[in-house]
Amino acid sequence: MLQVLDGLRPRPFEYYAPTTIEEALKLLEEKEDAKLLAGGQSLLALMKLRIISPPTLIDLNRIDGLRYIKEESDGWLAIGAMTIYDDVEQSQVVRRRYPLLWEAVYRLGDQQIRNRGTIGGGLVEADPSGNLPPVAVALRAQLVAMNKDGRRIIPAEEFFVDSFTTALEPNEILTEVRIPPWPERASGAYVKLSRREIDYPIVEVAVQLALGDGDDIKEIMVVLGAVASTPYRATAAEGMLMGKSFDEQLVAKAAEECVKDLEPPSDVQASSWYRKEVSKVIVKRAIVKAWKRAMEVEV
Amino acid sequence: MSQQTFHIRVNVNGRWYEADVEPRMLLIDFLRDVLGFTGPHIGCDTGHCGACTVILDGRNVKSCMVLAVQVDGARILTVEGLEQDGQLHPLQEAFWENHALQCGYCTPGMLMSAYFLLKRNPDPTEDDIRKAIEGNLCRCTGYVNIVKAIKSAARKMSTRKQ
Ligand SMILES: Cc1cc2nc3c(=O)[nH]c(=O)nc-3n(C[C@H](O)[C@H](O)[C@H](O)COP(=O)(O)OP(=O)(O)OC[C@H]3O[C@@H](n4cnc5c(N)ncnc54)[C@H](O)[C@@H]3O)c2cc1C
Ligand code: FES
Ligand code: FES
Repeated sequence: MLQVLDGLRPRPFEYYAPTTIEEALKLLEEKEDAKLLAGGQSLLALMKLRIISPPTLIDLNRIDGLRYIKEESDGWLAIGAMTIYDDVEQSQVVRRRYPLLWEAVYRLGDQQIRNRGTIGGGLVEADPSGNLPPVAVALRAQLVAMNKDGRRIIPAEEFFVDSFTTALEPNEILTEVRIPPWPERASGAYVKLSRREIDYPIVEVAVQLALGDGDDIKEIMVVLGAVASTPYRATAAEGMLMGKSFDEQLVAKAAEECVKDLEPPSDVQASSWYRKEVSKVIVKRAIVKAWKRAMEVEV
Repeated sequence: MSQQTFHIRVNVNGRWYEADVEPRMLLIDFLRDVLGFTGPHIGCDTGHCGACTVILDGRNVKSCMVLAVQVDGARILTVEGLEQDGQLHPLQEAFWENHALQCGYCTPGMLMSAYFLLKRNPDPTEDDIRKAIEGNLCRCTGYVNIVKAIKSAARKMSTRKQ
C-alpha cells in the first residue's frame, strides 16, 4: 500500500460510513470528538490544512433518505440535510416559491462545490459569510435536529450562535430544513457582492417580503451576511418599510438606517469601512428586487 | 491509533480496480499514485483551482475534496477516458483546434467541467459556459479560447448526433 504524502494531507483518523441515521447517532455518542462528514467541501479543506484534526469521521453520505425536496400538504417545504446544492438549484419548486434560496445556491461556489456540498453542511458550518445562513433566517426556516432520544426544532434565527458556531449539541445531527409557506403575494431576493463569482461574499443580503392588498408591505425580513459573526437582521429597516407602498427613495433611506449600527469586520476581501458603505447599495438593491418580484413587475 | 484500511472497488474509465486505502487518502492521490491516472492534476490542494476535476457518478467534482474511501462502488471518468478507440472526444478536438490550451495544466479539469455542462445542456450560451467553468482556473491561455472551444464542441456533438 502506498504511503499518504504528508504535505497538505489530513492527519490519520478513523472512518465510519453508517447506513442509517440511528447508527450515525450512536457513533456520534460513542466516539469522542468525532466529526460528521457531509459534502466535505469545508471540512476536508480544514483537515488538509490541519486547522482541525478530528480523530474520527462519521460519513453521512451512505445514509438513505436524507436527500430530498418535498412539498408537504400544509404548504411547508422540507429539504433533507444531505441534499446537495445542485439539487436545490435545479428544483423548480424552490425557484418558483423561494427565489432567494435559488439565487443563494446559484451563486454559491462553483459547479463542483454545488455537486458535492450540502444544504445541511452549509448551515451547520455557520460561516459568517456563507450564502445560506441569512437566507434561512429571512425565510423563517426551521432546522430539525436529531439525537438518539428524539428530535427538536430550532428556528433559524436561534440557530446561528456565533461565527462557525450553532445551537446544535455535539450529539445532534441536522436532518431537515423546513421552510414555511409565505402568503400568496410574497417574494424574495438574494444579492451577493464578491470579487469573483466563486469567492465568498464581501456583503450579502437576503430579503423576503409579503404584500397587503396593494403594493404595501405586510411582512418583511431583511438579513445581512458577512458583516457580523452571525446573520444580521436589520429590524430598523424592516420597521421603516412596514405598511408602506413601493417607494425607491424610502428603500434608500431604510438601507442607510440599516447599516448605522453595523461594525463589519476587515479582512483580505474588504475593509470594515467599505463593507459598511457598500452594504447600503446591496441592501437597497435586494429590497427593490424582492418588492418588484412580489408586485410581479420583475422576475 | 491502529491504522484502519479499507478495501475499495472503483470503476475508472470503464474498468474496475480494487485496492486497500487509508481513510485519509484523497481521491486525487488514489487516482494518480495508486492507479496511475495522472491526467487529473493537483494545482492548489484547497479546492480552488479545479485542475483535479473528475466526473464522479455523473457529476464533476474536485477530486482533492473527496476521500478515496468514499468512492467505493462508484464510477469515475478522468480525462484519460474521454477518447474512444484512438478518436479524440469532440471536446478534446475543439480544444486543440481553438488553441484552448497553452501549458495544459488546467485542461484535464477544464475538459471534465465542460463534459458535465454539455451532458446537462447540449446547447449552452456563452454565459452558461462561463458559469460552468467558474471552478476551473486557467493561468495562461485565458478563457476566451476555452469558451470558444466548448461552444464549437457543442455544435460538433449536436450535428454528429443527427
Ligand atoms: C472553492 C470553494 C468555494 C466556496 N464558496 C462558497 C461560497 O461562495 N458560499 C458558501 O456559502 N460556501 C462556499 N463554500 C463552502 C461550501 O458551501 C461548503 O460546502 C459548506 O460550507 C459545507 O457543506 P458540506 O456539505 O461540504 O459540509 P462539510 O464540509 O462536510 O461539513 C461542514 C461542517 O458541518 C458539519 N455538518 C455537516 N452536515 C451536518 C449535519 N447534517 N448535521 C450536523 N453537522 C453537520 C460537519 O461536521 C462540519 O463541521 C466554498 C467551498 C470551496 C471549497
Ligand atoms: S487541486 Fe483540487 S481544486 Fe485545486
Ligand atoms: S493552459 Fe495553462 S493553466 Fe490553462
